[in-house]
Amino acid sequence: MRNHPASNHEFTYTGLKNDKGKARLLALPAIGLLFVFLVLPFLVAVTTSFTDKRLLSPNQAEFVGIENYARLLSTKVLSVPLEAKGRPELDFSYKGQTYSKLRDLLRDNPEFNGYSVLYQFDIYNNKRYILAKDPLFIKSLFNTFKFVFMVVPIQILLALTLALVLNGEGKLRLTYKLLFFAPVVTSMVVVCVVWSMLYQQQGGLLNTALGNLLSDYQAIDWLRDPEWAMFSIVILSAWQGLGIQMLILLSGLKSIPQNLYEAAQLDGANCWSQFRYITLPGLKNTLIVVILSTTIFAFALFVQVDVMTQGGPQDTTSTVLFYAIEKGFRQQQIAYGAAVCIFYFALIVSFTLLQKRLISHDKH
Amino acid sequence: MTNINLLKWCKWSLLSLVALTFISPLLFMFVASFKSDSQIFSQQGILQTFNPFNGVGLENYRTVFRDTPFVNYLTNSLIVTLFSVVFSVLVNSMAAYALLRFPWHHKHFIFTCLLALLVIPFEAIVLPLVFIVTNLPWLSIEGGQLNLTLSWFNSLHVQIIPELANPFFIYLIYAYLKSLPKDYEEAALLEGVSIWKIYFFVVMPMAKPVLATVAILTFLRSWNAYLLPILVAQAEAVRPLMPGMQQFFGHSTSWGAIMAYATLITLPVLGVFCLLQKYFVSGIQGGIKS
Repeated sequence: MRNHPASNHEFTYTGLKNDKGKARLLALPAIGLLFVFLVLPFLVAVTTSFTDKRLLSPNQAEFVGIENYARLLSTKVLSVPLEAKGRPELDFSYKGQTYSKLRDLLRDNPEFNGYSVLYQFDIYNNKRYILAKDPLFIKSLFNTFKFVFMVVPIQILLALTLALVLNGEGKLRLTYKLLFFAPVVTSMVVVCVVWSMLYQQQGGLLNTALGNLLSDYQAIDWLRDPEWAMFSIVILSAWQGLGIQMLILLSGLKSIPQNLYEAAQLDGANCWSQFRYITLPGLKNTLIVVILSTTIFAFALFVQVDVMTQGGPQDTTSTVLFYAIEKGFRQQQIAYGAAVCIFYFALIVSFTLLQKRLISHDKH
Repeated sequence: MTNINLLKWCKWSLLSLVALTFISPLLFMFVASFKSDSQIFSQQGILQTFNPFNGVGLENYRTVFRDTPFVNYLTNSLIVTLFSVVFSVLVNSMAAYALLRFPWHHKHFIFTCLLALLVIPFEAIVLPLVFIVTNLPWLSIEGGQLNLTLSWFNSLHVQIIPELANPFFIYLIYAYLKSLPKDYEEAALLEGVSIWKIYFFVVMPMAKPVLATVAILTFLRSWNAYLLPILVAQAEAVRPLMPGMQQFFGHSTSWGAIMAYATLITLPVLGVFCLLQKYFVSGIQGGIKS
């Protein structure tokens, strides 16, 4: 006799000769496939990330410990005083030595071995340089976070507005819901190609429309201007994906009991306080799920960059995943690419754990 | 009363304007596919811009079929999508069924493992996956002879098999099957019906809604596949539609022809979506929420 709750769903008696074997046979394809194409690649990724493996390299891969990860994340700050005498813009003095070029300073001091400049700024009569062993990775990481922090609020606010407006039954509402959902079923590659056309500087629909609306508008080259390229990707990504968030929020709105609103109306509550004290608390869990799933999804930004900008202009749209594919596949540095992938995995896991925490915290 | 009606009317006309603006990129894709480049970028006024009949007719579509192996890409995508959908439904539902109805040692542990696998994003393992599939053997029959190849690189099956089993789908189907009564199946077992017959003729028909969800999610993923094919299916003979689109986008200088290609691969999906919208919506809702 089994008392396990799950056993209620099990057969009590099958009459089959070899029921365990049958069960194994049914589950075998899925378990085998999951092992070969999910577990195994993951284990390979973890192990290769600790080696110096390259594709098509004559040398055997060797264990290098955390060197790949160290290279990914090493950053240093170098502070050089702006000299009052001499040529302040040109000279760099460090540890009593004066160098005419920053490159020489980095070369002659072993602690800066392998570092190059990521970012520079002047503060308190000092030139500060942020140095990194792999500036492009740090940039990509920064760009990814920038994308996430822009796209998540935009997408969710728009989706929430639409959900509030379209909440309810009726043919007209359904038509609108389907309209706003249509980009979701459109392939991201198609979306990118179409928006590339809209974003054209000369005669592109967006610039034409803005030119008609604003009197002294200077046409922006959306995808080639470092100031605007990431923002352009944010807009099209939000446009493509907000239908999903709208749908989930709609189903969340449906689960709020209607009589709460009726009671509030009897008490004379206005629209805003109904939203503030009934809708928002009722949507809380749905919102947490939506925010975190959107966030996790946004971290995987790749297709848009690969199709539209290839990481440019000036590396302003390079992302973690794009960088991983560039390094690990196109430049064939398998081990280094694997390290980027594992780093990305750790990022996703920490966000998933955060989601679990937020939701379980809510239950108390 | 008229005041409220006026307010309603204002709200819906504003909403219509927003919806039209929202959907205009897709409309523009469609109308631009009938125009030459100079017409796309110089036609002034909304009515001219969005009128599909003042352009070059089907010229761009002819260009697509003449300049790209579109039919070849389409065939590849259709094969990959069809096999992916059929086998994804089979493989995942079989596993879910076996886990639900049969006693397993350490069932709880197996489930914990499955849920843990959910956390691994496909993007994080795609690089080593490339390495693994290029080192797998494959038997095929060519001209009546058995043919052994030692790599899955540049093939159609490499675009199908790696993504078939999906812990999330197994979990989704398992949760649905749980809500079904087991009486029919047990009655059939007492009659001596084989477990395969029960699975195909009793369980699968009852689980139709959740299987439709899995089928639709798999369909969207396979039809829109991009990352895996650009890595492991680079040969033109096995290239599916989306990488083909990117290739054409990179090489072609005619926006009209590019939009014709985009329209050709988007309209069928939007058509299917309109027909089956109920399943799409519930499918994707279920797909994200759990």
